Amino acid sequence: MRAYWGRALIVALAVAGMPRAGQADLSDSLKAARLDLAVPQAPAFELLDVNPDAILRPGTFRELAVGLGSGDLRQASVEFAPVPLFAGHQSLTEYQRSRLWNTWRVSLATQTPEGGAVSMSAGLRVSIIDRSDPRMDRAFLHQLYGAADRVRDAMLEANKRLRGNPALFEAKKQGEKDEIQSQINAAVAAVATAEDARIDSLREAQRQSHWNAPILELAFAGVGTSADSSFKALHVARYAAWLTGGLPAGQRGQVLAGAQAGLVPDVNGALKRSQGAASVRAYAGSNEVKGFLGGNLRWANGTLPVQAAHFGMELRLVPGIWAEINAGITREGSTDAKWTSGVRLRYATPEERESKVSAL
Amino acid sequence: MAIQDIRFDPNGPSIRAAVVFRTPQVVSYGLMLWESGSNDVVMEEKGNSENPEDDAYSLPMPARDNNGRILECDLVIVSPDPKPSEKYQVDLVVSQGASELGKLSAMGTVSAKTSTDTLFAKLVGA
Repeated sequence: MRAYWGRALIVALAVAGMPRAGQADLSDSLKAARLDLAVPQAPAFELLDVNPDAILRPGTFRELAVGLGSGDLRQASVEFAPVPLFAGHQSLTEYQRSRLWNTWRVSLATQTPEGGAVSMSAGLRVSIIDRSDPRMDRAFLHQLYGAADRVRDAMLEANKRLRGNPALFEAKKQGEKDEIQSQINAAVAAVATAEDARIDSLREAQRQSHWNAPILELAFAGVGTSADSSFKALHVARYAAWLTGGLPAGQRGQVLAGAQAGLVPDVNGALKRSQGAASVRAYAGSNEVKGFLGGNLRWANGTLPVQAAHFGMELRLVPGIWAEINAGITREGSTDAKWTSGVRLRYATPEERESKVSAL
Repeated sequence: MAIQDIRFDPNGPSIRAAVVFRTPQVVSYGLMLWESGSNDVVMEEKGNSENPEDDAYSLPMPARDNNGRILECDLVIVSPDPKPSEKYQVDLVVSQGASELGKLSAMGTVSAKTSTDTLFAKLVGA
């Protein structure tokens, strides 16, 4: 009951606790500090600011071909995992053998403003290490196999004992078949219900024990622009790269470090202006609730560096939804440090949940 | 239940039934060969997708003895990390010598719980 009221309080604060007037710049700095730890799921979209509702995410080569063939290629955005897409179906053991290749995600986007130049962005994201991946956790999987085997045994036994030869069963009257089938369903459900509960517990235990498992993710993207849709005069307009790594700190802690760097045009339009950010954050707690402490540095040629330090708490309300309370100080160049605080709700889309870092 | 006929050469080599996992889930299976017109089980095998070895089994010889028998494959599918709209597919491939006689596919969407599916094939000597 105490946990319920605690969560309700944080939700109420998150809904009501938008940043106060005059603190928008500071909140942006804190937001930037958080973003620096997340390798974007689709880096090409990050650079072109793509509308997330219009993104094509094909699961098969046919879906990719149909999606691109039926759309306007001057206003397109597509994200896909090339290896599963082109290699076809994979079993669990095949996935385990080629996990790294399976984590490659390609993002492509084009934008063409009315009467403007065509912009094309391409990005690649790779999860080099992810020890939290349940499909790679052989001890966890072995227990799932045990649960599946027990349900299978109940299914085999019920089909043999209650139904018998499928052809002879089919020859029976419908009422008799329905009665037998309901007995089979009840016999299997008696075992499956208990195993389903066990599987839920196993999944939750796996999440709890691996929330701080080692991770290393990398992404890069580039944007090119062309005066026309022929792309004959294509020139690179911007580069960016992201790297994030995480290590456990004991059983209840984690340290995450992230960096991003890029090149953007200077005032003369030459691709010479560098900008970047580095961030580190330490967590302590569990997957359900954890405190954090972190720092961030952001710089760009020709501007004062921005430094930020922050602390706070994260609470997982339900799977995929978090509430966060944070506070921090931000300093631009040698100016006085400013204080800010905030409460927010955060959720992960199914695609984002595939990435541990994005979910942080 | 749909029972698919699979034709084979009664004078040909051994018939083999293979369970092939097409998607990355935990799959446990039971394979039964029912005697024609009887509730006797001629052959029963169990396995899962945990190890990479082939999940293929030779049916009793001579091949003609399998005429009218029904092959049943009971499947239990569990996703380690279920996602919305996550699909599963398991195939039962029946072959004789180097020839593939037929393929049955169990396809569906996994749930957060255990999913079950069953495939039936009737062996017809022709």
